[in-house]
Amino acid sequence: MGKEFFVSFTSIYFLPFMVAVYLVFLISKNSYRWAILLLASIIFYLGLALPYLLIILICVVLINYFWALWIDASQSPQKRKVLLISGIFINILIFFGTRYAGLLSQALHFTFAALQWVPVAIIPGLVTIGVSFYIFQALAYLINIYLEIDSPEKHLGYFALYMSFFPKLLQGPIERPGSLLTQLHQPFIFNAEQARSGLYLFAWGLFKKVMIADRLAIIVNFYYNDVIHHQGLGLIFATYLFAFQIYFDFSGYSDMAIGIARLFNIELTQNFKQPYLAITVTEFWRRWHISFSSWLQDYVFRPLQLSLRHWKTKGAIVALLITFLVSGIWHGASWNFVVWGLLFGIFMALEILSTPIRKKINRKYPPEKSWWVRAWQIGITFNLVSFAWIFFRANNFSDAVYIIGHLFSGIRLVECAKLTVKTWILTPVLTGTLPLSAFGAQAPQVCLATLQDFPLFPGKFSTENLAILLISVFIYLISGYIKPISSWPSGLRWAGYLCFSLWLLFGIWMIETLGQPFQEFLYFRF
Amino acid sequence: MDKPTNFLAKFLLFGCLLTTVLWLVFFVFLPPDYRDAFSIIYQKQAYLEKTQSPKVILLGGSNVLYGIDSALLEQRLGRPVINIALQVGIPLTMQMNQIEAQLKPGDILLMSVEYDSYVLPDGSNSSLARLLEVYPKGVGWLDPVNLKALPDILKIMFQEKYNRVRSSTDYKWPSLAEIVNPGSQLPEALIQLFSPRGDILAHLDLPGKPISAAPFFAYTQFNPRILDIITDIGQRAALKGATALLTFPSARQTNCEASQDTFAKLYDRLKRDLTLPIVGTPNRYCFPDIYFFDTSYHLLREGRRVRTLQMVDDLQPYLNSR
Repeated sequence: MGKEFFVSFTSIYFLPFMVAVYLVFLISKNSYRWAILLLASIIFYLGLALPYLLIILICVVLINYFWALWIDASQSPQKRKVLLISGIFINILIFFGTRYAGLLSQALHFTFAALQWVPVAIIPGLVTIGVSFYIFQALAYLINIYLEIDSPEKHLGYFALYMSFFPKLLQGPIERPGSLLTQLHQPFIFNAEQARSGLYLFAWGLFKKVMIADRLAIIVNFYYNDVIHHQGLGLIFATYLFAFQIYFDFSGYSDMAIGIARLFNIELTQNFKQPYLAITVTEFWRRWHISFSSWLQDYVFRPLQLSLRHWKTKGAIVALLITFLVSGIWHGASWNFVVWGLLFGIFMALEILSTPIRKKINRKYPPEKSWWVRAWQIGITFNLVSFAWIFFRANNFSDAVYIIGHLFSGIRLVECAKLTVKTWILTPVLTGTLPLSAFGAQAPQVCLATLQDFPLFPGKFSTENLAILLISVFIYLISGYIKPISSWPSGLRWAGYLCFSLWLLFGIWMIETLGQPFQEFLYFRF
Repeated sequence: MDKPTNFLAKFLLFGCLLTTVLWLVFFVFLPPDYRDAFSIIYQKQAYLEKTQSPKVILLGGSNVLYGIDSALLEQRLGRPVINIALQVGIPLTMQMNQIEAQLKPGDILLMSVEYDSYVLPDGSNSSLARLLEVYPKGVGWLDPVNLKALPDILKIMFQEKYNRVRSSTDYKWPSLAEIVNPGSQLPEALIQLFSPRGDILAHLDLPGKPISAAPFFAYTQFNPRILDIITDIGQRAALKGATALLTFPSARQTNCEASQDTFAKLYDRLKRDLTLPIVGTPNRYCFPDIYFFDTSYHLLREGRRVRTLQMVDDLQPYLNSR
């Protein structure tokens, strides 16, 4: 991307920007603080060097602000409904218009050309960072006003801030009006503990992104950007690694966003709750990108399920499929995302259909008591999710199909195991000879052949990268087993913060030195 | 209610602690490699500070470092001479900031700018990284344009440091004297390479190497910012009662011949837009190919002598006029 990274969280310019915003915020009166945050959000968005994004944001803010007031002021239920539907339609139009105008014009251009009609000009595709996130927020706002769950915001400034609050502007979390607007109105009272935990969370998110996700990205990109030259173990390895890459990348961003917001006494929605420990795909979606999945549940799935309730289970399945289709389309205009969304819909539909069997098994072997049942369920869920990620990560649909078709190619593990047992155990035991004959050498040859196409760590992945990755994963894992750093005695806490910061800075230095700068956040493109 | 000032103070303290540890790691326990020729800046700076005025200070790139015999110049002009130049990558503005405090009435500031600087007047980040690693205090001499590039400069510096540490087999802990007074223990071998006035001597009797016969630059690449820089230096020198002069670098005849069009346009432009005196012409400082070492700027012993004597003649009017 380049210039667009001007004020991204991982940009070197973000630190002075944040310090300046925070200092001005602290010294300002409460009545002006919303304006400081709004101004900071505008500068932050302008920092992407794409000024049209600000124009789109302003349009969405103005439309939804006045539309909500209009809905609220209308007495007739019919008029309210028409206003809601038209409001939703306009938002969706903006969403599709900005995101898919390029693709649509391209399709029309070629169709018209084929029909020898007056050709349609091709509109260049727009970069729409953040648009899908705040459009979803706007939709939630309109629907809540219509349903009288929330009252409309009368102050345009606060509403604009609700839509554009910079920590969550680019990648969410998708906030509900009841939560964020209420907090924005509350007077700011400085809380040192809150600020400290915000800073720590920001650093922790940066650590997850830079030290883990970006290291994994090097390996994943090696395989996924050149799938045609890989097969078998390499593709499986990269697919599993991508599952972790996207988790550390996206949850890292969410931690950073939540951390920054906390400095202003604003608690954003938790987006991740150890998703890969889910025992079903349904549970996975309760733990993964929570602000998005709960949005889909409240504003797509439940209304659909309600309207299809007379179909009973079938209705729920149809609602699920449509919900995940929406999820796929929200992510992008390609078959990859459509299939990715539908796959999750199918997995969850299968879970619904298999509920009686699973209940029986769970009664006999309660997962909370049998660790192996739980491990099995976690394993199955993780594998299903990882399989679906293939479509999410593959550069195009044909790559995804190739990967699936070649996941098990070239793997001769069974043959390797059989030959190993035969030549290294059975033959020596039965004949009393050592397995040094030419026949005996077949086993290692077969085993080595399996690994031939699988350079575990590609050339670009240096020893330094491996060291950073392993140590960082170790730190991440032990962090779950020790007391939170904030509860440590003062001296030890300072030492902990210092060591962590040094490790982070050391990692960033090494990464810069290796010439592998920060990777773009995976969810930036949505 | 907590006080934000307490929090900010703690945050600042933490920042200082972190910076101290980083400084200890990067500059004390992984000290600069003072074998780097740029380390001679300590000696140049010390010599500059102890030299009485009126003096002649030479600024520029490696054409000055390699191509002027300061001792001969000093002898002929009857004034102390200090050669501040290191390399074309160190911008003129930075050199001016370096010497400004030592500039006194009657001093002469002679700028001999490589032709590359007429295209890229702000130096190069890698040269600045090299210099700042051995002489961190030099950060105070950076121009705002270079300061803006500081993150990149630091990045390059740390990259180089890491590569050096990684490939180093002879790491030794710095002595206390080196920690307390960086640059005070320059290697003897390095000092031997330079004259006390700052000229490099190591190359003087080496055989010349083949050099490309390309023109120095195409006039279309000329960057007018260099005019502002030179004018600014001239004005700052005048404020101190010193005289700033601009001259041309030593240049190899073959390259000069390929650059005649550029030379003519450049000279006209400088004459038209600069108010400070211009010493000589580009062609006056073109010398036979045989006088050059490894680039079309670096003179060998005989070339250096000829150029210096020529410069003595060219500078006389400015000495006498004072």
